Amino acid sequence: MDVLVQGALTSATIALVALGFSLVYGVGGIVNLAHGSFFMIGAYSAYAAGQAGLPLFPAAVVGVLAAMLAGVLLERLVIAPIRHQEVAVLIATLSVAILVESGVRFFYGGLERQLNGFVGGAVQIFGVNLQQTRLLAGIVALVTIVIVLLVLTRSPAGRMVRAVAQDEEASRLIGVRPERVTLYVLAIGAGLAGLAGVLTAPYGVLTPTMWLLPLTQAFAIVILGGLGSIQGTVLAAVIVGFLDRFIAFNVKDGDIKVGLVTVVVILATLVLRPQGLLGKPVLR
Amino acid sequence: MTTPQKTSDDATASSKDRDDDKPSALKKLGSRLLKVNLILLILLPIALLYFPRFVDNTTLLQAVATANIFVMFAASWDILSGYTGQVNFGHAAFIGTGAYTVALLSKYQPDVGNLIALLTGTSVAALLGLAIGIPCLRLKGPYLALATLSVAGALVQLTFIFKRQTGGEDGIPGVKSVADGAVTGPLGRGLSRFVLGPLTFDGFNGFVQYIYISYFVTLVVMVLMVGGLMKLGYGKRGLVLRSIQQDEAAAEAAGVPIVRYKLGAFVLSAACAGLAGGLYAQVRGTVALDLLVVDLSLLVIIIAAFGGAGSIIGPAIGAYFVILLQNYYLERTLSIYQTHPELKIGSFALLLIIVLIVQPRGVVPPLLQRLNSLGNKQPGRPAAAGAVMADEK
Repeated sequence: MDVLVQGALTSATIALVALGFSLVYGVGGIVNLAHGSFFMIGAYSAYAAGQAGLPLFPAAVVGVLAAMLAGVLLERLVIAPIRHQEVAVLIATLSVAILVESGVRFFYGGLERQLNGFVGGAVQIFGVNLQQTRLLAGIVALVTIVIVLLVLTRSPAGRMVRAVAQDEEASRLIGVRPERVTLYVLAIGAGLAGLAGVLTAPYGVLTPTMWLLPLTQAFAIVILGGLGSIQGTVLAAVIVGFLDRFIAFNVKDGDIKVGLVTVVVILATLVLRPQGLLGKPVLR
Repeated sequence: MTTPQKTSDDATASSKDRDDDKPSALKKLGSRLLKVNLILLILLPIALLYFPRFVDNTTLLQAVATANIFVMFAASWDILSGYTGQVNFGHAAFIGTGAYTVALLSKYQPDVGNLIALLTGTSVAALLGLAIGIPCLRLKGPYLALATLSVAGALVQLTFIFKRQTGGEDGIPGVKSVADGAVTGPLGRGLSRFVLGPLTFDGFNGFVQYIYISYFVTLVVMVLMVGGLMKLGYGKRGLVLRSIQQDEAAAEAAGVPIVRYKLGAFVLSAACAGLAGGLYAQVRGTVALDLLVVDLSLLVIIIAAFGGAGSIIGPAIGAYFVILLQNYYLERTLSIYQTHPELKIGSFALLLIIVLIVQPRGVVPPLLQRLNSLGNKQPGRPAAAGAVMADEK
């Protein structure tokens, strides 16, 4: 039962990260290796805001906004000039991830940090203990995902996003500006990752290397679900989320073995079913 | 630093002369390039070999020894990623595997000799290359990038899981030094007499001896490895590897056994990286997580991208430039690099981002091209590697 509840909650938060990753890839064809950094920027900004004396909610908002700002800066300064060179984008975004890591190390040191002030605030305002922070994180993440999916499928803005994802040139013909859409989607994706960072930070630890696991998990999910398939992403997030918690609960030292599982998932998917669960069998 | 640039420049010039009597020249072009580079490969090592006689600066020697190691990291990355276009974002996985294998051997089997330990590290890394290479065969671009990235990440996790054996974050100290047995052995004595002349190891204390030995050992291994990789890269096999990057389907249609070449490049790259990593462990005397983390993978990419991927010699020059700048110059002149070592990789990451945006081809190739066009008073043509590819079409 523990595994079920926890798995559901974990799935929701990692789906949040993966959704942004998947959206950015689907729309711009951009594989953003700095995506995990948004997660970290969100968490650390919320931590910094909390240290500065802001209460929980504004601190969380600061975290999400900081991640979105980072997304906009990344798109404008780094990705836009080299957008159509796939490998250059990969190398540049990985460099950004390392740059962010070294910046975090510079300002906060390499030690693990607990969101002390942040968690304390949570207890006071919502009257929750640690377990309920997890619950809160899961619920907020779930609601956000539903909102994003609704916007994507029902609203004119979402239609524009899907148009660009399907065919950039054709969307340009009907008056959509793909560059703009890419920028917005990257900002939103960054915000989603930042939100996930803010939500999960209270029951995790902050380290300068915390960006790598969400990134590989997001990638595993996107691969497993099938590239460009939003439903596949959600389904795969559920699978990876349950697997994650199952291992954490049932295997000795499970918490540190989680990263291995994602690698196994990635490699197994790539070998057995390269198009993913719900992806179309297309040659890459 | 100027010698290699000038000679590669000559190589480009010779390729240009060859352009006139075209298709039959293709084969000769490769051997010609190789010949010029062989001269370079003979002159440069001799210069480096006699370098310690004139430079009595152990800090610099140590930095050059480290640079030798990084030349091997970059060159081994290049034979896979620069040539076939299979960009490996987790080269540290191979480096770290070699290093940790050597360290674990020296921890649990102290009787094993240095050479055997190195060979074991190389084989284990090669096996890992095979294990990763097979599922990665059909991956490209982002898929390969993230798969290799996450494999290296998983290895970091493995060191935590086997914390008792690997020491987790602290790593394994006390790896058997490269100097172990080298001074007393006949090879060490011969080398010392040959190179140091009037100086002998007897006059030095242990630390200085160790620095000289690590300098020479890394130099010898580096020259052998880079020479071998260049012979491969500038020969027929190198062209085949390039053809995979250009158009895999066309190469396959032309009868190139794609799978064998890709996998071969993967394994060779892994083995060379493992060897270099193992040697690095013996030179440093410790292994730690910095041999496995993404930072190292990225540093290798920075070096290669800076020097110009796909030419072996470019990344090699890049390695000397980056490592000497970082380990010898910056570290001693800027005090902030001592208090905040993380800024080193950060500043190079920033440098790479700027280079990628401003000059995506890397710094060295356009420089060579500029030099080339200056010398010939003709509009510039692609540098050596580019010329080969242009002819190939």
